[in-house]
Amino acid sequence: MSSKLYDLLFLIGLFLTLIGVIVLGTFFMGPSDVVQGIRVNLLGGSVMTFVGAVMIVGSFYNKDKM
Amino acid sequence: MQLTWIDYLIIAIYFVFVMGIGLLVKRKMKSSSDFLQSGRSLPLWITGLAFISANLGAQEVIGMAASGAKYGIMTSHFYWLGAIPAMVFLGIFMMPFYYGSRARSVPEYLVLRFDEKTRTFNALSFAAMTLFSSGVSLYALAILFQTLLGWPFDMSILLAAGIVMGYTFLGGLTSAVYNEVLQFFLIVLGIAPLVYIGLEQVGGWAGIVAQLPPEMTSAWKPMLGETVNPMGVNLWQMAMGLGFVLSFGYWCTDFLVVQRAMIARNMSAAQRTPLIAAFPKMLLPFVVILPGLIALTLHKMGTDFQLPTKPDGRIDYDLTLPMMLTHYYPTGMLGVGLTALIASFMSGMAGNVTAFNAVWTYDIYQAHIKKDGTDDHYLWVGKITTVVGIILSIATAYVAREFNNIMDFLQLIFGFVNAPLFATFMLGMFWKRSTGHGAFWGLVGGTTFAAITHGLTLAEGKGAWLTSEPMHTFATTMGQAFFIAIMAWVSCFVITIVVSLMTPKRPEKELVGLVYSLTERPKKEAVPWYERPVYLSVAVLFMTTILNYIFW
Repeated sequence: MSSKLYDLLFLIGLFLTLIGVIVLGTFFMGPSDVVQGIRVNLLGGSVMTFVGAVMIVGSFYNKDKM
Repeated sequence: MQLTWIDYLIIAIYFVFVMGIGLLVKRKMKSSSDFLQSGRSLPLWITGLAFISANLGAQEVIGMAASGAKYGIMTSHFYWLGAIPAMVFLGIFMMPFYYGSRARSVPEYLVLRFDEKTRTFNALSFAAMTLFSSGVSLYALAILFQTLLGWPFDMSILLAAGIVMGYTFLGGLTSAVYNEVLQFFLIVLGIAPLVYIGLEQVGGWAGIVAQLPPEMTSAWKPMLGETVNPMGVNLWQMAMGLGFVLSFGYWCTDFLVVQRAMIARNMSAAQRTPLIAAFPKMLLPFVVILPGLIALTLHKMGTDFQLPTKPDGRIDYDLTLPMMLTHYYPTGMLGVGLTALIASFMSGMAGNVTAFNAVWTYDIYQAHIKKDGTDDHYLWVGKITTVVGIILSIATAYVAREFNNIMDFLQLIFGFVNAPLFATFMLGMFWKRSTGHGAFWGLVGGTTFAAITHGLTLAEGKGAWLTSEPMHTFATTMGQAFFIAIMAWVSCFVITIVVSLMTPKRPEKELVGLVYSLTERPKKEAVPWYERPVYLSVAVLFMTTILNYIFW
């Protein structure tokens, strides 16, 4: 697993997932800020978590290392 | 505006990751090539994303949103008329010479093709340009935080410079490139929700078209009629000035971006780097320009969002995107949006510093100061140059603080340097008769003509420093910049040809691999069609044509 730290795709995926989860946590824990009927943190957090997770999964099929 | 601890946490995590990347790649920094050229071993998806991210700095992210609000969808010509065709040209025609010659930098190609004085002229002008550009990024970052967050100017400068120095000193070019890829995702994912929210509020693209005058929502029509368009340029100025000279000059000769393709693993990957990059690049206007148009529409609709103004009451277009972020994003996404801006500023600075490193070490230090040093010595020089480059960037940021027009000045210098340089490269790569004397005097002449043109013409109160009665007054500084670029390119082109014909030519055997007509074409590899540069180019140009048609 530690070798994954030398995989850029994994690292970026980890970063985006972490940030996405924090933003989602902000949505679930605090009062939601709704703009134009859109729950901004829910939208942004979900997209980042999803993209990050896809990158993490993709990194296990990626042979390029740092 | 007050950030909460969650927003600060997101910013802090970003700082930890960028420094962490520097630490992780440090173990690979064993030679000067590793530090300054990433060992020419990076995979295609990384070089491709880094290629466009190197340009996705402060001027791009903040500037394009500002131009979107000021000039409308015509701003997209920087992408769909300028950058994309230039990137295709670079990939198909120029990369084989950059990569095939084994030059380590753009100036080094010039010494192989022409002579030492041409290389040195370009290396010095490029080094000065990158330091100023890096300093302006730093200055813009500090101003942004001072305005939005109330952070002290000095603290912002030192914090950003310290972090950039940390990760570029540890991991060199590789570290900068990896962080550029991270920055790309951060900018797209950090700003895209803002575009979605904005479009919802204005009623989609149809709502923008309904609210704004036609010349703001059409890319080509305003240049075809008699009415004055927002940019104040005609079709010829746009096509020749921006579409050809400035865009090809920047994307095909500026080492900052070309360096990202030159560090690919092999020739095929180097050629495909700008072509792969062209796909996301053609979609970037929807992330960086559209927010400007949305902001203008919201302003016209009389919503609670209004465009920011300067103390004298004029609209401050540069603050359009930051103000939209702070207006629409709640705690959480606000931290993401601001981190995206920080990332763009810091990456812009790191990109300039790493390009400066390579040019200083290879083209100035090794060429003129110590020719026979060991590799360890040049690795040490590269690292010291990183520190010196950051310190000079800090100094430049303070210079920028003293002169309120330094950003305009910098843009002008880009035209002075890159426009004639593209003429030099065109003749160098495609006309075997061009000589070192021709190239050198062409560059000097092109830059001089550009300065004279600026001194004799006026736009928005700028220029005309050579005369009290300007020869011509342009409607906008952008129109003036396009015309100056055309003058610089044409004069360099003509002077290079004339002087080349008057000076002895180089033997053809010395030009093999450097000039198109004397170089054997690479054999077609047995690869799928979608990996062949020509097919990729056709796909890129087709999609760009569609986008131009949609926003006609």
